[in-house]
Amino acid sequence: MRQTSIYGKLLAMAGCAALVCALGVGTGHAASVTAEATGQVIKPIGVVVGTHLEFGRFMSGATAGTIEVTAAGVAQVTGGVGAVPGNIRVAATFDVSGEASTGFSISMPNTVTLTNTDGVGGETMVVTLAKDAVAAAGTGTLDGLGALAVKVGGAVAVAENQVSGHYENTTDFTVVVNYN
Amino acid sequence: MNLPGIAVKTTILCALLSAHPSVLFAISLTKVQDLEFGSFMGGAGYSGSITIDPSGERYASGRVRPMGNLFSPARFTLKGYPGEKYSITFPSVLQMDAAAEKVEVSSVTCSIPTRGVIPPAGAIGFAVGATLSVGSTLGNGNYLGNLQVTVSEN
Repeated sequence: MRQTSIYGKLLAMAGCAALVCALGVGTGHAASVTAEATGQVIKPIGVVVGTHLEFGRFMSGATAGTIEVTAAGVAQVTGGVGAVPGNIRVAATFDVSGEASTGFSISMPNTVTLTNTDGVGGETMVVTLAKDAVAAAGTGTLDGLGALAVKVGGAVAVAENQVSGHYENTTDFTVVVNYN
Repeated sequence: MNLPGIAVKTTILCALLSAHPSVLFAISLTKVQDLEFGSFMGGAGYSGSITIDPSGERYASGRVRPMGNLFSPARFTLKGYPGEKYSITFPSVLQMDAAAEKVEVSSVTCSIPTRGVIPPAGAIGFAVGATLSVGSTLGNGNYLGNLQVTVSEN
């Protein structure tokens, strides 16, 4: 019986030693985990002028009138204004580029002022811009290639006997785009 | 007749546990949240960096512009025996990839001291943030990398 008791003690000690070794007592425990690191780089949004808004040559008359180019590029005159044939009249195109299928905001003025740059000059005409659906809404979505053309026409208010000359705007037709 | 033997076993085990309580409280680490820089506008002439602070804030520098509001530092929970010393280690620099494009993540920081003592509750949560460098020629896309964090008993 005494031999059995000693054997039991030795077995217990060996078992505990094994437990100690298995759990690493006397050596530093360590544990590791891995977290994912993620980030999405979005292509910067930009806008450039594709075509400038061009009303071509026209004549003022004894009464006031307008010359208009719609956003779709259709030209027409009203009142005393007469269009000179053979002139190019086009809407402005702003080419927006960025991340495909991403929404953006766009802003621009509602009117711009044209100033006579010939001779003494200084005469002005106001253009009320005619915006396409995106420009009018102020928001749009880039297509699958990350591009969208925004078109803007306008109507020039021509006074009676408006002084002849070359009229153009300076810095007041600024378009700003940003991602939503 | 076996009773004396059983008593000895119990005594030995209790003695061991008293001397090394961590036998039953091995240190452990659990990931709660991945490190997410979120979406940001960069590359194509726009260089700078974007930083996720361990506090949860996001900052951008240079021409990089943060977008959206889905971002987070990595979060972990460390568990162990109260009063036991711990140390936390992580790489100082890691890499994220998107196809052939690569970006470097550096300035990895932790919300708690990387060496300390496990509090009485037996658990402590911490967050890890970092800074992602955005080059002017970086391509757009979803970048992915791994942040390995290790905790050790001192």
